[in-house]
Amino acid sequence: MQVYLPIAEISVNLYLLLGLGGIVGFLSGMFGVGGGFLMTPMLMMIGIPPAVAVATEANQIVASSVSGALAQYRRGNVDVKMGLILLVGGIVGSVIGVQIVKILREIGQVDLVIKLTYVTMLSIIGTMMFIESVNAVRKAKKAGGKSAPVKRPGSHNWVHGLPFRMRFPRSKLYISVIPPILVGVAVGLLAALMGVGGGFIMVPAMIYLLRMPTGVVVGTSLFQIGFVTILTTILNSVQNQTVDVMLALILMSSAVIGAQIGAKVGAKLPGEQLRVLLALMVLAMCVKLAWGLIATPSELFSFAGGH
Amino acid sequence: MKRISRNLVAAVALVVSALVPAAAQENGAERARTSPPKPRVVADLSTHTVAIKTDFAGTRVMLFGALVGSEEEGKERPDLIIVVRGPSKVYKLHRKKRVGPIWINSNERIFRAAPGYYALLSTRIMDDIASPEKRRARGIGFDALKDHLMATGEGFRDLKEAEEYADAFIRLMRGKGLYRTNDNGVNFSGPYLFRATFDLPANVPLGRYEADVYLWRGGRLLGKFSSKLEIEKRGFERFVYEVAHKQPLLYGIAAVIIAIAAGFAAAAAFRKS
Repeated sequence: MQVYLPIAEISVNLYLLLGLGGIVGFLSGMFGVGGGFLMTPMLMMIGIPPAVAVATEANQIVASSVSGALAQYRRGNVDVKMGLILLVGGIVGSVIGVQIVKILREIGQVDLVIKLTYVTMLSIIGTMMFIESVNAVRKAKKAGGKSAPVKRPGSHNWVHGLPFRMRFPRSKLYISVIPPILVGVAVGLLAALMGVGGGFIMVPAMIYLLRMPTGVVVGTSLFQIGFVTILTTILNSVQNQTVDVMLALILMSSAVIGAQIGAKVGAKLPGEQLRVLLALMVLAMCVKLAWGLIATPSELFSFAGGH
Repeated sequence: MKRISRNLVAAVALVVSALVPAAAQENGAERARTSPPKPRVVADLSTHTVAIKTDFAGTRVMLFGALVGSEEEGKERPDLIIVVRGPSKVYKLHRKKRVGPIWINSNERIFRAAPGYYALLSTRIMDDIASPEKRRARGIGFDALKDHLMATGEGFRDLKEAEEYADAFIRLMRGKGLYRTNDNGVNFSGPYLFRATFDLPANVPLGRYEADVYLWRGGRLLGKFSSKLEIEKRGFERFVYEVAHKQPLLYGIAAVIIAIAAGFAAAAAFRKS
């Protein structure tokens, strides 16, 4: 059954979209990743204009992050003060990102920049995940099935020497507000340019850069992602009219089911080997996108603005 | 949908066929006194509005009609060329250029008034109906369309470049199924009745369409008949599109609220099970 998407202005097979949402939801549930960085490139591959794919995906992330953040908040796992500081940066990044998209749309380079950003990010993430997961598999074998010990990060680094220090009682930190704001800006930019929550950047940054206790990292990042994607959705609607509610609803409906199943399946399967697979998938997607940019096109001419 | 419109056409065609001989005779008798009788054409479309709804995956529209005033026995049956033209829009075209290892869009050129849809249908091979020069002079067909594109284009360095972009534009539009030709697209049933079908793909632009029927015989244009067609978004699709463009802030807030509600609904549903 074909379904016409009013903003993307194309007709797409409904089952293909539901399947895509389900698979990405399944993977995100299984690996505990946001899924935006898997969904957006897949939407681009099935012919959704990149600007619409990015804006709609940010809208979809609102669904999972807000309910997730509230669940974490009830358990007391959100550092609201840190979340607000990250959010200040996120707002700045999101506003700048949406403006960049607007300008790029006008000069006709939005597709190129979104794809280039994806190739760069996916190659970095894919490689890092691959190395990390292969090492984990090796260690798991050596340790005879026991999971690898987590390295405790040291207590001080250059971050602690910066000015404008502030107390964060929930995280038991007394650090400068500059690094969290910058992390927030980066995440806001990614949300606007790539349609991702940015958890894969923020979580490591919180643990290794800000030295936040791991217990509050996930909740606080969801808190920030929720608000940033809400803002990005509204800004994209106002500036670019690229949010396709219809597409978002279809993807959401199957992604939430996929995520629940994925979480249950993931708990029973060997995590390290699966992460190797996910890393390979990310790298394959990256190669596919990169090839599209460097291969000599059969048609040199194209329409501006995706139409 | 398709079947219904086809049945409708069949019914209308029957009515028309019953009327035509009488009308033809009347006209013929009246005309015989003044000038030699020329055939004329009356035509209509199976539908005048096409609504794009959720399940829209393209549609087929039929143009049907009859020749009137051609009770000239023994004379060669006239030929028809039908041009269906979509609303005029501004199109920007890029040419890819290699920068380092990657291909980027560059050299933007603009076509100020290109039809968003163009279908060319005829009773037989176009060259057998009229010479390319004559068709071009009358503004019929892709040669004429190319002239029009080059005349309304902007930013071209020279004529050669304008021609390359115009050719590329027509090629791209053909690739999207928005520009199409069918040498066998107009069919006669009997001496007077004809019908033609043209497909509108799912990506068809919205707006007002014009269908022109040109009547030829022996390489000469005898007459022209025009009909209109409106393509619009309807129902939920139209609503979404309009709100997104006219009330973007409201649309954005609604999108967020829908997403949050969906998130909570899903969380609640899975907590129970």
